[in-house]
Parts: sequence; C-alpha cells; structure tokens
Amino acid sequence: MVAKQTRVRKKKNRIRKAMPYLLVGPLVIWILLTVFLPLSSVIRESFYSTGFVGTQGDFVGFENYMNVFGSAAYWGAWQKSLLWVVGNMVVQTILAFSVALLLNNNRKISQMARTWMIIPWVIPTIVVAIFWQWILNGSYGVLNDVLLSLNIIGEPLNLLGDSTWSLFVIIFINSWHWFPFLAVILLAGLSGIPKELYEASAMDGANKWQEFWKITLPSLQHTTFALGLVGTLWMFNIFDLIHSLTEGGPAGTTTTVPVLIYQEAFESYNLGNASAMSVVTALFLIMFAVLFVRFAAPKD
Amino acid sequence: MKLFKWIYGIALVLLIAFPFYWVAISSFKLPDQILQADFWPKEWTLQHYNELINATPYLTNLRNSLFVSFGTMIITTALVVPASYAIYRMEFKGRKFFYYLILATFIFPTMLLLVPVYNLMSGVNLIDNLWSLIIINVTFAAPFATWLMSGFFKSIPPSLDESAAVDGAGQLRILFQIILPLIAPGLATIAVYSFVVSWTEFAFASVLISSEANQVLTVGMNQIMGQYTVRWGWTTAGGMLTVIPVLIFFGIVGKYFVRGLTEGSIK
Repeated sequence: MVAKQTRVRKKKNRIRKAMPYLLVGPLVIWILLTVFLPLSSVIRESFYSTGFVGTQGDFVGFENYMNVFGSAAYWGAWQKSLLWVVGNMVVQTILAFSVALLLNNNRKISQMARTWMIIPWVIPTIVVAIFWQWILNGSYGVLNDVLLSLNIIGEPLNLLGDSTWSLFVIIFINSWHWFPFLAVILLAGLSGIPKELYEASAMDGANKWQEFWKITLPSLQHTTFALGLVGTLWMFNIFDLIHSLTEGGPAGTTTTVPVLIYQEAFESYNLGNASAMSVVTALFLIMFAVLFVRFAAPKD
Repeated sequence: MKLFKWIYGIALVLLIAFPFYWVAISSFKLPDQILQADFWPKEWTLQHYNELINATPYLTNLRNSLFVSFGTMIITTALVVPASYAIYRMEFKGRKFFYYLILATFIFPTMLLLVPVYNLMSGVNLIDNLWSLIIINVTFAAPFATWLMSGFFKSIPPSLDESAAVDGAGQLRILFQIILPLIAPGLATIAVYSFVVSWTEFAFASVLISSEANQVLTVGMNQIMGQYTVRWGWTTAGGMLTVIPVLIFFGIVGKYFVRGLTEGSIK
C-alpha cells in the first residue's frame, strides 16, 4: 500500500519534471523540422553542382562559393539591399514616429485612428503592388494625370520603370505597407513613459524638441532596439513586393539579395549557386545580429 | 503648431486612404472609362466583379486562403501558448536555449528556405497540398507570436500559479483554468497576427502550389495581374475582393488586436 503510494508520487514527480519539455517540445520540434532541417540541406546543396530544383548534381567542393565571391551580381545585390534596408528604416522611422507622437493622446479620434491606420499592413503585399502600380502607371496612372494637369511635369513619368527612381519608389511603397505596424509598436512604448518625466522637464523649461531627445527617445530604447533588430531582418528579407512590382528590373536596379537568390534558383536553374549565396547571406545576417545585440542592446 | 498638426494628420490620412479609395472607385467604372482619371465614376457598374467571380477562380482561391489562414491560426495558437507558458513561467534546464532557438528563426531570410522547404515538402508528398502552406506559415508566425506572449505572461503575478499549485491543482489545470482566461487578449492578438501572416504570404504559396484548384488568393491575384495587364477592371476589382474579407475580419477584431499588440510589446 505504502509502496504503491510512493510509486504514484514518483510518477507524478516525473510528469511534473517533464511538463515544461512537453509544453515547449511541439513548437521546438516544429521549428527544427521546418527551419533547421531545411537549412542543413541548403548547406549541403551549396557544395553540389545542382541545377534544377529536385535534381541531384555532383559534389564540387567550394566551387559554388568561389563563384559567389567572384560574382559582381551578388555584391551588386548587396549594395541594393543595403540601400533598401537603410532607405526603409529612414522613411518608416520618420513616418512611424510622427504618427505615434500625433496619436499619443486619449482623444477619441486618436483611439480610432490607431486601429484603422494599421490596415495597409494587413493587406497582402500583392494587393499593395496592385494599388500603387495602378496609381503610378506610366501611361494612365492618376498621379501622372494630376501632375500633368497641374503643369508640374511636361510628360508622363514611368517611375517604376525608371532605373534611377524605381528602387526609391519601391522603398516608398514598402514603407507605406509597413510603417503603421511600427507606429503601433511605438505607440505602445510611448504609453509606457511616465507622465511625471514630461512634467519635470516642462518645469525645467525644455522645449518639445529637447523633450523628444532627452526623454522620449531614451525611454523607448527597449522598443527601438527590438524594432531595429527585427525590423532590419524583416526588411532585408522582403521579396514579394519587389518581385511583383519590377521583378528586380529595370536592368537589375532593384535586384536585392533575396530577389537574386530567387532568380538564381528558379529562373537561372542554378540551385548550387543559390544555396551558396544563401549560406553566405545568412552568415552576414548572423554577424549583423550578433554585433547589433552586443553594441546596441539597452544598457540596463 | 496646432494647425501644422492638423495639416500633417490630414496628409497622413490621405496617404493611407487614397490608394484604397482610388482602387475602389476604379473597380466600379465602365471598361471604356476606367483609364480616365475621374475621381468619381460617370456611371457605376458591377461588371468587373461579375466577370471576376464567374470567369476566374476567385472563389476557389478565397476558399483556399480561408482554409490556410484559419488552419495556421489554430495551429500557431495551439503551439505557441503552451510553449510560451513553459518559457515565461517555468524553470527548467535549457529554457534559455529553447527560447533563443525559437527566436533565431527571425534571422534566416525566408528566401533561403524556399528551395529546401520545397524539397522537404516533395519528400513528404505535400507539394500542391494546402497543408504544406499551413505548416510553413505556422513556422513564420510562431517566433513573433512567442515574443508577443511574453508581455501577457509577465503581467500575471507569479504568486497566482504558486497558490494554485499549493491547492494541488495540476500544472495543466493551472494553465487551462487560471492562466488562459487571463491571457485571452494575448491569445486573440497572436491569433490575428498568424491569420494576417498567412493571408498575405506569397512566395511559398507560389512555389509549393502547382494546380489552379489549390491556389490561394495572393497567387491568384498575381496571375490576374500578370495575364491581363490591360484588364485593370479585373485587377482593381480583385484587389478590392482580396481586401474586403480582411476589412470585415479586422472590423470585428481589429480593436482587440491593436490593444493586444500594445500590451504585449511594452512589458
């Protein structure tokens, strides 16, 4: 009788110990199978001369990596990717911060705006592409029509087909898609700043501008750190908007790294090279993440 | 200053709303007037909507998208809630490791995974199967959802599960009967988040699905846009029909979602 009780208690204890693993296990296994297992196959493929997806090439050692490091297209794509990430961060930070500051009050209209302004973020990228392609169209877009009738321009602009402007135009469109999300997160951070801080600085005679740099920004450091890290990676990885607006053109001026990897794998049918590109890219991103965490993490 | 604020506010509203207005208004114009930049249709027509529903696989796409999005939503929530409960409220060996493992998914470009996930899915015979999209969308939604849950779990005092444990309530009962009702807003937030991730996904949907019968809305829209570049009537109507379900969904849950996003991300 006593022995049976201790056995039951032991069993209960074992379940208790195993419980956290049982709870976290399914998600961890899911991620191992869908992220880390595929990643290991990317690393493997990067040493093979595989062409078509689904075929099997020969082992070629580091040849693919030599190709990637010597590829002007790959480094050119990095240049565009850097411009893309920085451009997006700048435009979105300005838009999101100004919106967040504008709506950081308890007025009814601000509360409503908080909910509805996020709509651009919840619609599919492909629809975002349709919206702006329709507005910016070089032959009959409404933007051209308005600019022409106001005599601001003499002939229609084809912004998305222009090799100087297309990347900047897509940065703008992508910012339109993403800044509401950033603004909501920033608003959350703003609402967490104690009012007393502002009252104290108002007594010291600080103006709005000083207030922003001395109180608002430092109080948001946890939020801006998280957004800086996650946002950079998110922006870097954007593929579908660029692909559906310009397919990397005109003349490769919007071919960022993800677009190039896609083209290499699914249009040039060079899976080996695409895999090597992926591995090199991932290493750079990991480096970025590590450095960012080390140097930009909030001190406290 | 006040005037400037108002002007800036109105400019922002225009920036956000004008594309919606313009596409909506265009989709009701007659085919021979759609290319003219009238800000109000001379005559209204439902012709494009009619054609879109009858001549393109829009309805099939919609059904597939709903299936994938709701599937992703249910599975993400079911996986993330227990996992984040363990991570944020239990002490065990490897806790930090599992936490970083889940968040590390952020680092890898989704593009990297396109080819190997294709191979993986063809290995288990899930190519051209909607479940392959559910599986991969859960993967993309889960890390941020886990991160979001931290705020909700941290706002519950630890003494609560301790006193429940003293009462002799089992760990699972604590989670389901005491914690779950308290994190309901968080639950709603990650549910909406995973729905949106899935609803907007395009790259994997275009590679993993090959037959028209299994296409989702984003891919279907891309084809309508590609095949009929001249048919702006269909494209704008299709754009509206893709947005409207999200708007309805958001009209119902949007307030809670934004509030949850706010609460989850500050603590």
